[in-house]
Amino acid sequence: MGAYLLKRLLEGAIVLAVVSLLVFVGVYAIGDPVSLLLSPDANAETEAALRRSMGLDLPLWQQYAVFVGNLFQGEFGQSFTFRQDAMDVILIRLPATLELAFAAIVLAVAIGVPLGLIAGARPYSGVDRGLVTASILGFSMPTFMVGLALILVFSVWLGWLPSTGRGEVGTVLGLSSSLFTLDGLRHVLLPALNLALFPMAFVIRLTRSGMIEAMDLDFVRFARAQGHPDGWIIRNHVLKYIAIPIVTVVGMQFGLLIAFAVVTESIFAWPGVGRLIIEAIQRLDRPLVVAYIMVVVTLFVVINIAVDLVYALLDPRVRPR
Amino acid sequence: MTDAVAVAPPPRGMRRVLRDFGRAPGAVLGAVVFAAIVVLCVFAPVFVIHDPYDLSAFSIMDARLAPGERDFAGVAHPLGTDEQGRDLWSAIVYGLRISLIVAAVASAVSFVIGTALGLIAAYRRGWVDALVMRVVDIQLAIPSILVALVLLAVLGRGVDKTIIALVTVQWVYFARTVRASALVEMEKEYVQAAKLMGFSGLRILMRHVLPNCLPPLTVVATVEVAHAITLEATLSFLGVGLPVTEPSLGRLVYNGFQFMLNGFWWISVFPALALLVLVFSINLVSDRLRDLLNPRRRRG
Repeated sequence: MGAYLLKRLLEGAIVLAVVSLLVFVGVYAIGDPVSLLLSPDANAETEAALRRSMGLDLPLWQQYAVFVGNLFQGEFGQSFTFRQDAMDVILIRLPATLELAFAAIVLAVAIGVPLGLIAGARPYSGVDRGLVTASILGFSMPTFMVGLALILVFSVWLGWLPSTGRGEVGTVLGLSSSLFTLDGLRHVLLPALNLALFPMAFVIRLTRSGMIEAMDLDFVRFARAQGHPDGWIIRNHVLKYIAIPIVTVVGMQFGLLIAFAVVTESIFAWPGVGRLIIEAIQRLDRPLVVAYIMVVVTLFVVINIAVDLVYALLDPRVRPR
Repeated sequence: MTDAVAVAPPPRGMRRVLRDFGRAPGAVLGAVVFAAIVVLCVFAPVFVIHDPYDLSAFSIMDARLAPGERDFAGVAHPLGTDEQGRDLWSAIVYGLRISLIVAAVASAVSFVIGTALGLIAAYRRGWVDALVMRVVDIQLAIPSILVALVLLAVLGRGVDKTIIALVTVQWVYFARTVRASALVEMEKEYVQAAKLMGFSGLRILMRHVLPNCLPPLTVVATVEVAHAITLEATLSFLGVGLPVTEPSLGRLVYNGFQFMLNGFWWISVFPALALLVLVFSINLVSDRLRDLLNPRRRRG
């Protein structure tokens, strides 16, 4: 187990190193920040001084070393637009994104698992075909279009739910989140539903195939022979059996959702990191873009490793020796 | 002359695939709709009410007309007009054209790059293979929208830059598919025979291995065109893809989004519907092709 963990951590570190190199080359080597920062009437001496003070006169490998050194200290420089440390700007908005992704995952499981069970209970029936088609639609519809449709129907036409912002934020046990107030819940519902669509389609398919597979297995036949009704068997045995792949996929989707939140947050004016990064890209705020990429990719790597570990703990068959 | 012995078996039953394809009404509908959209795009000037880029062809006096309303000149606008008085149908047709061209070019370039790298990886094995597949793995681990966003953040906006971003995201899928099927083909006897006959690596790859990798590649190609269309639309919707001067469907949806909350729903909804029809028609076709061309799923 220890060796496996070490191997995974090493792989994660390699991914982070590669990404940091790509980001460095992409953001720092292409385009000259000095020309952006300097006023047009500055002379050569001022330019050389600025270049020296920013460390741009050093050879490229030394610049990268400095860049990586700063990364380890969480220093990404000042955001051009916020005049604050870029990392701080990200960290202030990260909870809103995590909260949205969390709400989306909860919705995806709460709706997806029962639908998957219904579909899998009678494979190739009318209900099953309908649900499978709906899940294909869930995969192929672009997120922003579903968001538009939700706003149009529930905010503009029916007027039931708000379509912008996070609403009132409540605090429970030192955690502040809009999940703790009624107004906040009303605000989170539409964006979370929008974000949940993709993982929900996934969960439906996974639950369905797991259910179909499980109902033919010996332990289900045995339970049936004992005279237990199907509902009881599903609750007590089948759910445990299909939980493992669902936990894995849900975990991995969580990382994806943080990235996909870019679209949902832009549509619903949700004040998280996704909306922030779009603004940063449009305003060419490089320190902010770099900080965002490193934070999200790190989250991603950590989540993937955690999911693999949980998987290994849950399922002895994949546990490496 | 001796070539005939080693030539790969011809793609079996291309005609059979076409015939079976015709048996699924959904897939035929998808193909017909897609063909109609292509015709619409190629002959766009014939089908539109006015040139949406010609600022003298429309007037702000006719802004935000509801679908079916007539403007001051008495011309009916079946889908209404946008915030500048531009006929929405015309804007959508030209938007479809831009979306389709960008997606087609990006997919074609990804096809060539991905196929070449996949074939080389499968042929050379060793460190070349390891390197290519490492890059593929890392990229598949990061969501494509993120990769594209980061690239556009570095490169800036533009048609060429959007295409570069799409290719960077997409070549991976082609490379992975080609490598997998090429590895299988490389083990087969006809390739061994061709090697024994002393044919060059390039010739074996291009004339023998590649033709047999085409079925799965076709499926990936259709999926990737749809993928490119949605990704480009999403990027343009977020305002980081195509510039305002090249309004693709995603950009049109974004333009209308600002007015949707005020009840002018059609400016946003119709371009979105056009996008949906386009993507869905391609998905119908690729779904059927996947069923027909995947040997494991082949029935009877």
